[in-house]
Amino acid sequence: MEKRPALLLLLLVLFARPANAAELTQPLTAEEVACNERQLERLLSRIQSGDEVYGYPQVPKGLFFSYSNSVGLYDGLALAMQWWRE
Amino acid sequence: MRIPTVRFKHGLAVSILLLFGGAIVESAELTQPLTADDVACNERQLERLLSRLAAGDKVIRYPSIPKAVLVTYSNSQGFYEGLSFTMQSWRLSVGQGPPVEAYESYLAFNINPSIRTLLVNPERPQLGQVSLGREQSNSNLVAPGGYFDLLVTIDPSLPGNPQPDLLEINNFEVPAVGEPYNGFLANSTKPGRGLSEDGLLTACHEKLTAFDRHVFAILQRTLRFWSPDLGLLDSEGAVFRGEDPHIYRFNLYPIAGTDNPALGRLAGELRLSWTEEGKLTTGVLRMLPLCQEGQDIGCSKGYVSSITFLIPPLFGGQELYSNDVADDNGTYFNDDGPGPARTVDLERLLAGTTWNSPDF
Repeated sequence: MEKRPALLLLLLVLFARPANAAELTQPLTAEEVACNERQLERLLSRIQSGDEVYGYPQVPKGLFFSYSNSVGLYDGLALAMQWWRE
Repeated sequence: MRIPTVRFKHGLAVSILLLFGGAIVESAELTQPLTADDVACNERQLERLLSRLAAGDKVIRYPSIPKAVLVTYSNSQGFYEGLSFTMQSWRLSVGQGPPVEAYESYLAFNINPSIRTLLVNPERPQLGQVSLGREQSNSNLVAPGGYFDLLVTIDPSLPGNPQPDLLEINNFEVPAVGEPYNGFLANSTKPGRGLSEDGLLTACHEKLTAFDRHVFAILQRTLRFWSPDLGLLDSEGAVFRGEDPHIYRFNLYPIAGTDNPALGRLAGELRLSWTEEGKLTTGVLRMLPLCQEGQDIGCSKGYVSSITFLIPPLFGGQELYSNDVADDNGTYFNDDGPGPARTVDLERLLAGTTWNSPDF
């Protein structure tokens, strides 16, 4: 009679954490990660957001790119940084 | 004697499976069946979207060209697409003649509700946002102030806001570098609790396919209606999928300016046939009858005497369609209700375009 609760507890310990994590994110394969990495690198190679010519004084610019959803649209953020080129 | 009987039964069963299973598999490759709840959710969602969207003339002047807008879905995640266009006709006062040829002119746009919720000020609450953007390559951009100006606005605010901050785009051309700003608006992004509360930022389901999107895009360019009783009014419409994988539904709403309420809803459907490769062959155009008591969707509403028809795809701003297409490819809705369904030869309608050789 005492085996059932113990078994249930074991199952809960084993499976509760992965199930919980899967609700928010999903594991990716190495190929999927490589695909994302290369795709974003190719996209960045086509994007220009910094200064074409460095002048002084000037605020350096940055750019981040990522995905927005599972269909594969992109989100990005271009920003002026918090320091000066002098 | 028993062996042939058993074989016959198996053969019959296999034939039935091939007949029914085969048809379902073939359809499922390009489109998927939807449930009644899926369709109802889409229909209501697009109707709510249209109630926040404006694309026609606020004040009707003479001469002017009537305007229409059609909205639909772009992909399974629930983004929206739309087409605002000038119609091939003139509103004229007594004694006036058409100043120029009334070509159909287009402003294609997309509405993207998948915008990040983090705003510039980290202390501000995260807010669902929506972006309204024009698709320049599908649009006729014009110098502002003419007969072909097109404007699309969406109200993203909560109900009751006296001065809503509208999303707004237009089809004004981009001035050359160094020229003064002419008011062109290519993109607009705003946070909007109203859109979230209206359930406009979440998908009803994820069953729409690339083929559905292709058909939606074709219908935006080819589905037209005209009401002899209501005159040349502006109009709005929604195109969406029916339950059957071959049924495409539409709701059309004549609009008589912002001072007047919508005059009714003309509901219809198009049953499409296509080859295995996705080449459209025929479409049966049918209007849906007036709503019965207690029915609010899946039916026509109000007095909407009209003819709904399909036109061939046009080169926007340059090409006209023959007025005969309404008789050849149209079906009526009058006092007696829907007229007979009309079968349209889509291979013929789309001949001469690249639109009927999809690569799905």
